[in-house]
Amino acid sequence: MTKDRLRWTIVVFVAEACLVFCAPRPVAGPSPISDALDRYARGQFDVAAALVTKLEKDKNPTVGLAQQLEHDGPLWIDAMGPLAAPKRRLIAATFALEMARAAHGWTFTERMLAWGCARLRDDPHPQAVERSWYLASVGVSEEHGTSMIVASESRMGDGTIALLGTSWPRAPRTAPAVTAPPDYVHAPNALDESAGELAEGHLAHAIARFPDVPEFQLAKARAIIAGSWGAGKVGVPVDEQSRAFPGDITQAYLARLVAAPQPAAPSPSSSDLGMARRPSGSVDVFNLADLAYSSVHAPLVDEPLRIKELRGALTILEHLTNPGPMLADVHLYYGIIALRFGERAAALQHFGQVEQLTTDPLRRCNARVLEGIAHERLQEWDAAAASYRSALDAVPHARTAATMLTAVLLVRGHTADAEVFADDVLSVPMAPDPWNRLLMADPASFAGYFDQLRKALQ
Amino acid sequence: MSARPFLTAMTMCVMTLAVVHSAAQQRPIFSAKSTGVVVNVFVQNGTVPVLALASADFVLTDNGVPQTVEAESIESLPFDLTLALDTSGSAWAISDELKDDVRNIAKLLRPADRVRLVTFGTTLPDDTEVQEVFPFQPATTKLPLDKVKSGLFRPLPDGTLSPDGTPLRPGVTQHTFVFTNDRTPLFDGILFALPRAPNPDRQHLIVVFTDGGENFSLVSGKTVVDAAARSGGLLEIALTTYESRDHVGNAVVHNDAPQTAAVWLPTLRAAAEVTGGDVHDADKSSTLKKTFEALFADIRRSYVLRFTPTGVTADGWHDLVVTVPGHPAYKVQARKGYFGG
Repeated sequence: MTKDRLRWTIVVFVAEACLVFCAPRPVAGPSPISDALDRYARGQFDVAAALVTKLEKDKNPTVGLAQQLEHDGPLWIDAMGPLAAPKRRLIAATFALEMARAAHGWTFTERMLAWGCARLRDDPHPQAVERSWYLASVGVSEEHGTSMIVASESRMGDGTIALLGTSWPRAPRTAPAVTAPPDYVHAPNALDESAGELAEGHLAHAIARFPDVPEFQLAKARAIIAGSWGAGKVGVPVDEQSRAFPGDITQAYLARLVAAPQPAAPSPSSSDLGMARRPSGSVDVFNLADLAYSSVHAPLVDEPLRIKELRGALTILEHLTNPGPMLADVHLYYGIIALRFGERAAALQHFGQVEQLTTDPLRRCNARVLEGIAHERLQEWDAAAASYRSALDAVPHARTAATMLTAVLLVRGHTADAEVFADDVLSVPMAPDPWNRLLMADPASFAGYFDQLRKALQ
Repeated sequence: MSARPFLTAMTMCVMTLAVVHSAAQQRPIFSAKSTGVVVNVFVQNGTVPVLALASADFVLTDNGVPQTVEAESIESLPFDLTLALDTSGSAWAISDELKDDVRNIAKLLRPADRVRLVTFGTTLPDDTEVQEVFPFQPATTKLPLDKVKSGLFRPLPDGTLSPDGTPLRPGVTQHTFVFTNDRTPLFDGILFALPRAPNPDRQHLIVVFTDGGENFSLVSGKTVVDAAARSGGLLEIALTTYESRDHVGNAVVHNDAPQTAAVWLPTLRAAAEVTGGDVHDADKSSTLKKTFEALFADIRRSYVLRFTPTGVTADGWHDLVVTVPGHPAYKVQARKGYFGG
């Protein structure tokens, strides 16, 4: 190439570059998510849920929406400068919270809760209104999680319990689980962003920012109860197991557990991971050193942790003595744990207290169902049936009470009564079960929390 | 396996039953009323049903006390047929095709027979886990199948990814995909299908179609067995089997129904046998047909033993033992007992 040729080439290149960079460029509009955040900030609060609802209605995955918020959200928060950032942070976090609640899958919900929590924690000094955000977020995570019935035995318990921060050792989260509904299928690394939130526990973040809020302590107790639902079943014949209520952790059970043969020594790989070797001898039910070991040798060695956590939940509840509606829940959960430990008379007293402390049909129904279970444990069949009928008075056609009553009637030989009752139950759809919602905080409170948040955003 | 071949087989078997109904005996129901107790009995010599036995051939003890029985070889009790279908993702779902199958089954029953449809299990969060699609009604009437749902067979949206991130093949339904995300209250479903007051004039036959998956019941297996023992019905369980892995798109998803079925099979068998029924394998359509032909052939070759309990306390559980002393090698299949009082 000659020098002239090279010179001309350079000139042409520079000219073209000038044309490219000096030409008018199309003005980029706000991203859809930024636009939605703007509208939300102007008080169009329905926009958040509508985004999720439309995607789900059209059967489209929501993962793209999550990615947009994760990408554009921080830019939107900082767009008006540092002075406006705190309020815009709260707006964006509440926007994420409303989307989390509107969604029907826990993966998206977890991701949005984790993102909103992380944005709020960007500011080390919590705003007072954040209390409502965290109260609502705990409820949303519980509402989207598992029911007590299937806790830690079925599909969704793992994520939700971890999100709420029990010390239960979780199995490593594996990428795309086959249990994910199709609307929430995600890329293999899609959960990485919320992994920290899951590992530390969302509830732990709430408690760290608001250590004196008793509702978070109550949520902690609820999470422990859910996480320990599988306890009391080691060595129990599978045919004896009922998902309605697990096995009793009686002194006899504990003695049997202590006398259980020692599991095989951990494999070299588990030692390599730094897991503690359990000392020789029988299982020490109250030895937390077994925690790491338990992750290798489930379920026998899981029991110490579950049982110890349950006892810890009792301690939490004993410190929650504030009067008011929450006290009914305290008695309800205290009664559950008492029942778990085989203290049936004490459990009945606590369930009776619930009646005195609340008129909420959901809580009354739960207390009466649990009362019926306690009576069954005491072989007081007529009293059990009466309790289940009473529960159905509170919430007609509630699934748990209806099923338990049918079983008691039939097994006790009252076939004609069972027929009439079962026909009545099956003649209409069963009601959403209060038992399932027992661990879901109080869905009725969500509206209040969101109202408080929305007022603060105006 | 789809529902259709299975229900088709069922239909054919019911047809077989209907054809022979007028001339042949039926498996009678057990009942406990003031007029007496009715026990259905099936006798085999090896694998061959034994016919033409008389009252004197049977010995029946009630709580160990021998009773005087009347044996009948032909029984024409009307059926109260409860079809209990597992509609969870791991089994089959209600579909428009299934509506036709239910209609065809009903058409094959006699005017005096009644039928109802109970379903249990769902993958849809807002669905009721156990529900009665329609209550008992004469089989000859138009069945109200409007409540039958087909939601589980909805096609997934284009572009939906399989668990390994690859696109699903066209036409994959949610039913196919969400194997392990379902809720299957099998025991609860059986529990609600069982209750029927003793009625010596009608036979309650409960046929449960399931893959044995069980992950959402409130009651235990032991409770189901106890409840079956105290019900007046004859419980027959048709157990289909699946491969534990199924191909969805390019991915392989895991179906845990076979594992749970293996765990619960002894319970299901105990529940059926305590009523005089059994668990029937139903893994292939051809086998289905044979299975149900045999089932209904057995029913029509059954005996009815009637007796009025004497020398025993009326209340409580009564153990029943039926033998044919003159032929010790015969295998006698009968209800294990009844609940008196």
